[in-house]
Amino acid sequence: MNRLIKVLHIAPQNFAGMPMDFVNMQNANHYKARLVTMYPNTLKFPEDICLNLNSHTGKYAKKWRDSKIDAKVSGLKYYKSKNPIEALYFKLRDLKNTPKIFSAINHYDLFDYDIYHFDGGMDLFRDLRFARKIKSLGKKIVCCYFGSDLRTRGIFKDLDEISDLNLTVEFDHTQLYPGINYLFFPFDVHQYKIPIRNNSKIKIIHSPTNRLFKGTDKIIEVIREVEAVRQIEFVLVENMDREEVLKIKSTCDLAIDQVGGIAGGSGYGKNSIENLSMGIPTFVEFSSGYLDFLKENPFIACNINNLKERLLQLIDNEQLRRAKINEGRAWAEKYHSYRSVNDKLDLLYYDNKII
Amino acid sequence: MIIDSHIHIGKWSEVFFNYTSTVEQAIYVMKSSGVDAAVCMPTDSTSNHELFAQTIDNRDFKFYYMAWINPMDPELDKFLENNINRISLFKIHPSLQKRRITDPSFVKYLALAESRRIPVVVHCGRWQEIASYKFCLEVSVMFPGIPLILAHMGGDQPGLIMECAIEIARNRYNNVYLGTESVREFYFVNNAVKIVGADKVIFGSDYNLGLPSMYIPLIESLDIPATDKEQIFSGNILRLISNRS
Repeated sequence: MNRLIKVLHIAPQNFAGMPMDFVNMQNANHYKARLVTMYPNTLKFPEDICLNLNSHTGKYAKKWRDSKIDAKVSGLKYYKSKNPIEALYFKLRDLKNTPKIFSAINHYDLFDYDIYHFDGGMDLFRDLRFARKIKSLGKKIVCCYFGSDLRTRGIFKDLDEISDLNLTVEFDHTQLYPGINYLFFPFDVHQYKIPIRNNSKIKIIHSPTNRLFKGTDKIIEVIREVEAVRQIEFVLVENMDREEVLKIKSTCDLAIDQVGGIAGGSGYGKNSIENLSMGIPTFVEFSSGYLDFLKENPFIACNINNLKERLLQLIDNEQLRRAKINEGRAWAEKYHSYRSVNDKLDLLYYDNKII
Repeated sequence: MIIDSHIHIGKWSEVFFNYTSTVEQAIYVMKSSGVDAAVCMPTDSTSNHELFAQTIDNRDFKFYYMAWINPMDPELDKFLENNINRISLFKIHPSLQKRRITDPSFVKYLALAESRRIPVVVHCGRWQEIASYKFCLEVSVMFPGIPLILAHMGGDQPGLIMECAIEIARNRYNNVYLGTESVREFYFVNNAVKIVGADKVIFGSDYNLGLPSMYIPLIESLDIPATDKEQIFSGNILRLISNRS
């Protein structure tokens, strides 16, 4: 072979920067990867090739999307139009987007890749014509799921059938889709250093993107109880630029991710791995199944009922805090670093005859 | 895809007349031989620290790093502590270290390898008192969690290769693999692969002492299915590297 394998990632958006993390990881590991997104992201995550397609983001569009969310997800869901009007809408949308997509295909030579990752399991066209075309050219297809794509929207059956490999970075997906391959999401751990902190009071950060999901109001109540018995400083960070958040975070001793949220024990995300990489022990609520799955982990697993007790343990025990700092950083490197995740992905590629 | 799972870079001691090769030379040789990635380790007069810094984030070529385990190296423990998550394999060379792999000085490193499922490549040679494959098989029983790769297919000599392969198969050493580096006798390689199975054999060239282009044809010539050759060239080593914890 002896040439760089070209990988094209296709995603609706660079959600939480995750598709771009995969691209960066692969570029750091001797692949030549690029990312095509259909819509610009709204949170200042970097873009590569963004098609800037029109999307409906108003309150009615959101209401429509929300109306399709099942409260109870019990098994693998296949996407289907909710009604003929929605089917017609997507047909018209494909029609409207066709010139722009075709022009990008030509301009960026999008057929000239070896592996295609559909990040979020979605094609450029709702009728999957791009995916079918590349399959007919003998290219390899990987579908990678990040969250609500598999959980609430459902997967595209026809795309699933021509996919050579299915990946997820979400633990609950493994229960919904038997046989899907779990990967720890890649994170550039080595770009972070553990700063020296000499706070006179223990500083605790909580930075929710969604208060309900993170359990913010309940966490604040617990913090008030802790403040009554210990000298601490609580920092609530919301709607702030990422750079600013990082600056504040680097001064903190402990972090609370999600505890008591409505999703109940859904585990950790990029925010937590960022904390661990910066040497900040982090409190997270896990479901029992998730904890069984993550046998070895450095998080301070808790729920809203024992959060106070767990906080006091860490506040009162400097030795324990130090041990957690080192444990957390080492764990993040071991499981989430570009090198580690890429090694796992290489093997999955090999086993599925992709490389 | 071809991964050369056994290459050296750096300066040798008098044992090879201070012969030296650079990372750039290694990359040139690997690329021109059709090799896609390589597992590299230092030579006996180059430090882990020096080679690791030059290879681990190399932009021109994909290297996996194999740490040279010399228990007398005062820097070794610190090096491992700082970089353990980026080290893919360990290398033990009983002949150059002049001690068997069963020597107590290796125990803590073997224990570390086992706790993290880091594969350990062990030089096996003709110096039977020190570098016999038999000592490796003893270690494989004491540390069943370590994937052990017996370099030079257990001894770099047809008699030793065959004896080693038969013993591995007979006693079902499930955690033992054979590395093909520097073995020339294709007929015996073929026989050994048939005995232990292609899933237990890993391709290496022993560059900078050998060239990948000398040994790739040997694997290509084996009388086994193409998928088995793929396993020897890359699948088996990818699996071991990926299974580290």
